[in-house]
Amino acid sequence: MRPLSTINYFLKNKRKLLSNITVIIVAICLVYIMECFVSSIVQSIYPLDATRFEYASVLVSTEAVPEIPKEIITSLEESENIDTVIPVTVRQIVFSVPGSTTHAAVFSAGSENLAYLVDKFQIEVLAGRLPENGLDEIAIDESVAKNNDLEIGSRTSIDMSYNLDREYTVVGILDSDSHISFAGSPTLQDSALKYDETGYLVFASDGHFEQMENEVSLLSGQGINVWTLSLYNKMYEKNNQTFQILDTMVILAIVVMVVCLVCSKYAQFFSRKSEIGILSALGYTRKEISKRTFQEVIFTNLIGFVVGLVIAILLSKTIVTIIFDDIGGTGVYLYWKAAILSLLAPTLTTICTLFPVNRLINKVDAISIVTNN
Amino acid sequence: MNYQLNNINLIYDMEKEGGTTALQDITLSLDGKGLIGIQGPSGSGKSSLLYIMAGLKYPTSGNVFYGDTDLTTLSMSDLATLRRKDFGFIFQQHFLINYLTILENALVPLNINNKIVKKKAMGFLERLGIAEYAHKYPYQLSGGQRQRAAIVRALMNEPKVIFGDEPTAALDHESACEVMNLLTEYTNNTMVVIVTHDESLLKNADKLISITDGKIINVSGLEETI
Repeated sequence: MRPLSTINYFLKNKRKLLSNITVIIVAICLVYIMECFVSSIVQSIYPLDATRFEYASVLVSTEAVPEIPKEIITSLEESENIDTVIPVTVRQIVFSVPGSTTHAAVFSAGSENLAYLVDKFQIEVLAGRLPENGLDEIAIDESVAKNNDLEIGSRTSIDMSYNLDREYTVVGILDSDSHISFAGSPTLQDSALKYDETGYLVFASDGHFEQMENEVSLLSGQGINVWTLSLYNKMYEKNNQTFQILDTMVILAIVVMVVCLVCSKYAQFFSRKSEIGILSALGYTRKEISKRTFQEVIFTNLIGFVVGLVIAILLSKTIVTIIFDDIGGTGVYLYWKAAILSLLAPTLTTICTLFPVNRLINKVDAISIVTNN
Repeated sequence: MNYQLNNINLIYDMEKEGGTTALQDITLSLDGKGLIGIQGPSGSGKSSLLYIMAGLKYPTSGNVFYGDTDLTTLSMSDLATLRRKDFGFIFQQHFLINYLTILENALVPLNINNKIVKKKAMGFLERLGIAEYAHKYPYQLSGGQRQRAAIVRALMNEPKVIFGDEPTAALDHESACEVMNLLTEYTNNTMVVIVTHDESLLKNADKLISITDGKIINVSGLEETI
């Protein structure tokens, strides 16, 4: 091995290598895990809120329109853009993951429509059965059941904040990407139903989803609470600013880390001024000395990045699985954006170290080194 | 390789009024081998003369011919390449790299680590009596042993000229004489230029240049005149 090779330098200076790499690894782990955490929140919450609108738009009565007029429904049913309009009662059940809470839809429909809904929402009954109409039974989505610690035979708790005004017995576990649950009560004929507890699911004709959404969206002007995928996504984009702020904070954190790393690395090279000076006196060109320095910096950051990324992925897998997957959420541990943001730390460190160190090399005067010592 | 220095002047801090003259009108011819001593009081300019000859410093004016090459026309990079190829250096301090073993330090000028160069380095280390410390680190050796290791490093590239700037200053007199004797051994085929203020160390010098206030005041053992 060449005496001035990068590998030899780090073999002889294992502690320095370890300390340099450790800082990079910590930086990468922090950034990666934070990004995975945020992504896990999004991936856990978004499908619960949004995916059902990929199958059907939802109309819900409001205080202004406590009962959606029959003529509106008839007009929808007659539209070529719409396949079916199914009346439902609307309930919600809480779904919480660390950092966010939302609600999953619980619909109650007439028994004549239940099979159609199961088919349209591509729901699979994993265990048990669908609820009996009129009974306080619920067939609950698997993720929601896990999140609320429910299984077949157990009972839901009353949660008035989410219109869950009765205790349901779990009779079935469902699986679907829309995370919809079905309850047997209240029925549409229940006189105690309030204005925001009834509504319609509107299914598009084949190839007419967009037109159906446009048609349904117009009803919001008539005081009806309308939910379509595009409306939801617009609202989601507005709320998404929180995550953008978080990304900005992550980048700021990276910059702070990079500044600290660069200062530390510069100090290390500054302490090797005499080595740089003597190599220069012995006949190594500045280009050769710079090249050696660059290789050391790049080697450290590359090793730090690779090791850091592997550790970060393993840690994310462990942490995120425990925090999200085990409670019905979606834990993300392989995330390209996190990897790219993690790459920022070693890349910026490399670039920001090379400039001042190169300047240092150019400024080192071999004669002053050999005469001042 | 012969040296020809023509009207060399070196002025520091030229931007300040008058500047500081380190060397003044130095004209000198040197043969390609032998022990050349440069002596003079502290601040007389002897080290400056050595650095100019070694291509570590550009003179303010004048020319330095090393063979047919005018060092003053070479770039910093070309001078570095020349130093590595043709020159060996021993400084007042050993300037060994602390994290490398003595053997690795010896290999630094070549930056090669194969059997042939290792054998060569071990031969030098043996000759200088420090072969047993080949795998030790500089901080594990005494001052004299480290300076010997620095000499081995200076010899590794088979230099045509060895420059020593007060190479014995950090040593006791006995070690200093020992180091000088070792260097004298290489003067048959190599030019060894030694700067020192200790005249007694240059008793074997083939040529002795005395400098005071940046001017050569005497050259003994030389046919050439100032």
